[in-house]
Amino acid sequence: MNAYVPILVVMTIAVVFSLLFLVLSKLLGPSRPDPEKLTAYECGVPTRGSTNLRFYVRFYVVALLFLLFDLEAAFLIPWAVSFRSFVADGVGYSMFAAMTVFFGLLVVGLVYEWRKGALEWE
Amino acid sequence: MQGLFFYLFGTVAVISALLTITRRDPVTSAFWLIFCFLNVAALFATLSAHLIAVLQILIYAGAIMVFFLFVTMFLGKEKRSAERPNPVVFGVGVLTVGAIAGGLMRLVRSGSHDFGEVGPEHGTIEAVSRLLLSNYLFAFELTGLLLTVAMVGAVLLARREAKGARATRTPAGAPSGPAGVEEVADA
Amino acid sequence: MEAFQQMLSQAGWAQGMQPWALSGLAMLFAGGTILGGVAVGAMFFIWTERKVAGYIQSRYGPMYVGHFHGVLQSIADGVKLLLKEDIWPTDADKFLFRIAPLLVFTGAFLSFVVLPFGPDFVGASLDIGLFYAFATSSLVVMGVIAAGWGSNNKWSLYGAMRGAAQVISYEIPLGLAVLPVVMSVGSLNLGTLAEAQRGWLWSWHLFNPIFFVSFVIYLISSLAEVNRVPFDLPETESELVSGYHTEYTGMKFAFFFLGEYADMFVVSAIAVSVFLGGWYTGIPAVDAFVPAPLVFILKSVFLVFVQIWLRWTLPRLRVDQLMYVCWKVFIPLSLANLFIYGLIRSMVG
Repeated sequence: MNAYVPILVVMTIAVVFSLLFLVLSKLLGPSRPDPEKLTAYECGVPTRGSTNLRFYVRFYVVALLFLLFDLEAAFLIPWAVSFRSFVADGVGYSMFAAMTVFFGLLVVGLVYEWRKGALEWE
Repeated sequence: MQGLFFYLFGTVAVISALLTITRRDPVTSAFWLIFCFLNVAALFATLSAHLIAVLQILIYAGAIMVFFLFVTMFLGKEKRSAERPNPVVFGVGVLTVGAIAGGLMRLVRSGSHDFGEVGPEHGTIEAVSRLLLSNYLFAFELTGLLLTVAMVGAVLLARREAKGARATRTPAGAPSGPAGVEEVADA
Repeated sequence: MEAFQQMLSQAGWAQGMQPWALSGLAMLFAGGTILGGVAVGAMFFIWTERKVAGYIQSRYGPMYVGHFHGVLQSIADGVKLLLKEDIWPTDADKFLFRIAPLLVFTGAFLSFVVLPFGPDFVGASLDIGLFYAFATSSLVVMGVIAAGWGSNNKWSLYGAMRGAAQVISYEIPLGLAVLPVVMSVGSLNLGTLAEAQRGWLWSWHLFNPIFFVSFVIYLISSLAEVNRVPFDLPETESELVSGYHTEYTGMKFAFFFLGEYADMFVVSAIAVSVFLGGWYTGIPAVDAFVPAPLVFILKSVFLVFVQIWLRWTLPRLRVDQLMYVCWKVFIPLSLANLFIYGLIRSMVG
């Protein structure tokens, strides 16, 4: 657990440092707001419409695929870390087979997506 | 020392969870939820559950929340009416949470569930993967199957949505995909 | 951190202090060093970028501030940004607009804790170090999304969506590419991964054919991960003004900038510790008297230089090309690489 304490310390330092500089810039910088300046900068042209944008549906697919692949990776990581000791114990082959089954399913999913055109970004 | 960290992260986690459910803007809620997850990850780290701690950040605070945020963005920035929650729904919610909390308290107090001490090596990646690939090998392979099914589901949903999107604005609902995935993450 | 602890325990004024106070002080020193290093390093990289850009385009780049080739240009820019007005666009979401630069900066900064600058120069030697570094990059994604959503600007939102989609897509080949090395060493601790490359030059992971494929995938994916050319679609100044940080001014903008350059160093440093021999020079006799952090930093700076060089040489990809490369080239390739390595190791032992 003690190994994590430096992270906490560094995080505190980062937050304190950034807040300090934000406050400093607030104090040192001028503040002359005017309604024209505070509009959204969209190349200088008056803003039209709301930011209620329509996104391409592929963004949604990418997020979902990322989620699934991340989960796959989450299972691959422990296996990869202990693979060396599995080999040393002489069970490397069976552990590789176990992962190949898991892996094969992943590849089937990927091939299916490819064939169905889910990876196309028209 | 460990107790101190437990109360620190635990309190912050509870506060940010409360902020998650009380904010009106869904994106702001999502960010408080991320903060809550980070604190939960810190709690795991204090328990020497290294792998779970980092997966909590990578999967929950990372992947799942990115997905939530994308869905929220698909829904767009509609001005949501600032209506009060339905009192009946609110009451039922409070009662349910109270009942669960009470039950948990009783369970812990009764001492009938002795979870026992575990060594510092218990939560390492090595230990987890040995368990995963021996005792729980079948469940592990089943998870692979479940993920493949989720992938197929994602493709089908996207195809339907891509067709719908041409006619109208993108409907971003599609809750069955992410719900299935979350079950996997819990497994 | 161990180095600081040792130095402190030998210092006269620190005699008789409690061990916890000593390690606390060491942590504060280490944290302060990281903070100073990040700030100065980022400024140095910004200056380098402008100089390299200048010379690639047959001009000089900054020349005046600080007399010698404009070395103090970044400091002057920093002061300027500090003194600039802090503009809050009318419809910006106060909470999200405020936390976005903090998330980007903190996310980049937190990765530094696990970087092994030398055997004794690690902030926190975590057993899950490599994946901790990937996890902190998810904070950066969140910062990008918060900036896009909070600014209430169409360009920012488009930039944020592109940025997030790109970073999350390339995180997969990035993670898969390092796995063969993890399998060979049996650890995710960056220090241990570097330690495994002790000895002559050819013991570096780079010179193993399978790891070389990994390295190429890692290097290109890491460019996408830090939104650099040819993967700078979230910023695309010719179409989206400046992408997700269009509305930011002054110090808040500076934090995005600092975060970006710090991230460039982080991905390079991870590449160095995983593939390029960490703090080893490749000649055992030289290792004995060259300070480890110097070697490590020089190698990382070289990779940062490569990133800058690529930025001013290559054109930008289109979104569909970007997704094509990730999902149809890198992911299948890294999976095949992983499979082949596993097969060889389980047969040969």
